[in-house]
Amino acid sequence: MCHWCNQHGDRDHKWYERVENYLFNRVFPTPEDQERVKQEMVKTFADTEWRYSDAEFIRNHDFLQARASKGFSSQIVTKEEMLRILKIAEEATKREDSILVAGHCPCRLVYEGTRDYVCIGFGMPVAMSMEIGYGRLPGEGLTEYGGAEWKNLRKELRKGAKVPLKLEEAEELIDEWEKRGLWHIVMSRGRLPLIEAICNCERRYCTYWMNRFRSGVKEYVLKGHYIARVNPLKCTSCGHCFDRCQFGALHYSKTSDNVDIDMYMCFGCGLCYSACPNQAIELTPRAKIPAIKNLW
Amino acid sequence: MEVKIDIDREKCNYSMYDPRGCKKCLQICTPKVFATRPNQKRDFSIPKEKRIDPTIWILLTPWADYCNGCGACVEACPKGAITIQFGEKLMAAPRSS
Repeated sequence: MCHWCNQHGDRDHKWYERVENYLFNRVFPTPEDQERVKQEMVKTFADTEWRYSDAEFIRNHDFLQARASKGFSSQIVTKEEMLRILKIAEEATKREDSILVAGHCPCRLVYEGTRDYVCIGFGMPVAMSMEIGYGRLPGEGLTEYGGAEWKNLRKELRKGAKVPLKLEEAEELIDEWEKRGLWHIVMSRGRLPLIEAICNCERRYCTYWMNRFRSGVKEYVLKGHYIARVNPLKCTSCGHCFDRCQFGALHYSKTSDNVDIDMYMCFGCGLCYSACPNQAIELTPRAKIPAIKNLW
Repeated sequence: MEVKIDIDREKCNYSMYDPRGCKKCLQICTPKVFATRPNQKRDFSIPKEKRIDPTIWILLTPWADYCNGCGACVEACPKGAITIQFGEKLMAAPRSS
């Protein structure tokens, strides 16, 4: 169990498997809390979110550490887990008045200058903070914030977004992204245990990844609950998995003519698992292997 | 690596919603040294939260020390706005043998 599971999960469920963690009204039950969080969201967004390409934020280890302990955190999950997460999120949007939204990846907007619609946000908070256009407060309808420039920008951003997104569409999108070779993360954006978004990302653009490996704040991206292992007897060294691993965990052995996965470097995204035509790669729970049980 | 990247803001005139906005340096750089963000208005009478104007975008180099000095961005920039200076450590590195 990772430390988010210890804090926010229970005995049978990981932190992203509990329905309670998807419900805004459950995590922040009182109106005062809700109002405070709403104000915080707007403030965080205007203050730091747009400026996180600024060196004073992303190079500042102490700032990032403080943010991570406040709850900016994510964890890598496999595709099967991701589909389960989507189902729970869909259920949560029915229980309170919120929506599922496919939005653009802000990291790619910042580092590549393109808008790529590969994130799914759910519930009220992320619909606001992802700048998809509108947030939907329980019982209040649509809310807007900012001035005229924000409205124009929002119109611009809304063009390619799918609002609201249906569950079937979301599942299709996940399949598509899996084929494209993007790994999936489930994330909270500063309000743990409230889970607000899933991202499908690449190593090159991911800001969370940079926070972990360039600025050294580990909590930003935690390794997944599974790791991939190769069965050398089944592996035919066809090479389908090779272009999938973005973590540098896959190696090819010339002598034994098969693929080997370094379990210390494996993040458990499951991309090699889904690419293997011979079922030579299997996903094992991290907890079953004592050597890496506590490495996140 | 010790690299100093200078962007001439006037030559660059980077803007996301401008069709002339070229973003070639962003795309050509593999270590992702460059980044963009909306700029802040210079009007200090506005409170800090509302000062950011999403229509004005600027180019930054937050990860300048991850630059490998290949010079692809200098060649790619059509306006010649980017200049790279290698740091003293690299230039003056003495080779004993």
